[in-house]
Amino acid sequence: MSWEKWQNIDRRIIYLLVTLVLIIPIFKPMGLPITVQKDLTGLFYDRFDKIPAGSIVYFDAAYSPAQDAEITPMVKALFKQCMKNGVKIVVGGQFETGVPFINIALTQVAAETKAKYGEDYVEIGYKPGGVATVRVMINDFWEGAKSTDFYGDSFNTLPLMQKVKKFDEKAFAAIVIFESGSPGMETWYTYTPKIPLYKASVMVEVSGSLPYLKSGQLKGVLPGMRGAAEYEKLIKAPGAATKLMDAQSAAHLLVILLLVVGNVGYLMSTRRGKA
Amino acid sequence: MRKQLPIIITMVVGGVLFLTSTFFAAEKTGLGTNIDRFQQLMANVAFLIGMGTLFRLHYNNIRRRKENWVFSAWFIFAMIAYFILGMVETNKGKNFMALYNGIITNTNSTIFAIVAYYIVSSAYRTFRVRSGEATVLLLTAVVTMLAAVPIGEAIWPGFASIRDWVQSVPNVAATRAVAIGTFLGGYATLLRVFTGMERQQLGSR
Repeated sequence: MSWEKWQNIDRRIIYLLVTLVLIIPIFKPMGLPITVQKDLTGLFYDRFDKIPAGSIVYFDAAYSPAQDAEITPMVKALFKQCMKNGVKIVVGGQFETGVPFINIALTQVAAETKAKYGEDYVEIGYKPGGVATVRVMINDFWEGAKSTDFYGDSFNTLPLMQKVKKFDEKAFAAIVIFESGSPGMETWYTYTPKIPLYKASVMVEVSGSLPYLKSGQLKGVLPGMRGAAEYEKLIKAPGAATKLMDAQSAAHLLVILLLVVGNVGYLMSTRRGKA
Repeated sequence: MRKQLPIIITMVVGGVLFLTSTFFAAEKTGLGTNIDRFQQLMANVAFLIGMGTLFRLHYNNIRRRKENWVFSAWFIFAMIAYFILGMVETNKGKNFMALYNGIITNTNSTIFAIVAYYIVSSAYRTFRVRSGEATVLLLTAVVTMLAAVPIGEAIWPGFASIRDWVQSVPNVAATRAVAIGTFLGGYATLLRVFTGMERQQLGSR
């Protein structure tokens, strides 16, 4: 038997297997139980759920459409929780590509929850200038955001914006950053350290966030699609992330299987070479 | 003077921002906020400069009939047309948003999704237990991958405990070490730029 073959499976077969393991569970779900990670999703939910009704939370769209599968379910779940608890939302974004994209998700979920634009939530859109813009907003939110929302309407026409004059802990009860890269959470823990910061991010960003969670600079971390699925479970509103978890399970198993096959082939061929 | 002037500007602006973000008394002067306002304005101007630079680059490709110049022509058409559409319709416009949702969103998501295929293929081809360190890395990767999805805990609930320990002890220690090293390196670079020792941004070596 040629052990080299075990190490050199045609990549087209691998691509086909990846496609199958991702597609089949979507149509034939296994329904595996999703347990909540208490130190991550559970902690996030417990703290975020205690934000009193009438408070305002800032959502930062620091991601691009590429991270749709992981982040959009989190956006929808957190929006639903806020609307259920009577928490208002101001939505901005450090990524110019994230702002129109979060608008799509919010428009859908606002229709489901009957949230009123201007009263329950406002999208201020992308404001160029990076941290300089944030620093201006800290002193004068309206000046930093040029007093216009995502649609170009004046803040004067939006009742919710009358409560937001400065970007500080008096105006905002929390910041939730939906993050897939840089600029990201460092903007907030550097310039608005008094506002509790929550991070909902793609899975690859999670390991780098944990020191900040331990130090208290982050109040909660929502880890990738699994975090989104767990959150959907906690708010009792299963959505896209719950449906996709089986596909992710199958894909991880395939990777592990391929690693085993490749390494068995490698070890056996090495042993034969020595003999 | 072409080099001295940018260095002097860097030192003055850097000094003001350092002082205003470090000392409360300096912050009260409002100098830092004025610099922030200027930076905010320049960020908007930078978009136009970016468009101008891209236009010049691709226009030259077309003029000299360089390889694939047709794509340059298409790029200029798309950039200018979308810019004009955005100026006319703004984010309220159905066409402006439909183009974004129908092209940018799908293309971006597709390119990112394709990466999954390459990751699986390259992990299979390169992840070999050639040494003790590689073996530890492989085992950690397998446990973490299993623990990250529901099927892992369905196979053995203990995967979750191992993942928690890996994430909260060795991972946090290593991440903090990397972060401290990175920030120290960043400070050193900032000091070099601030004092004029670093001149690569001015085109010098």
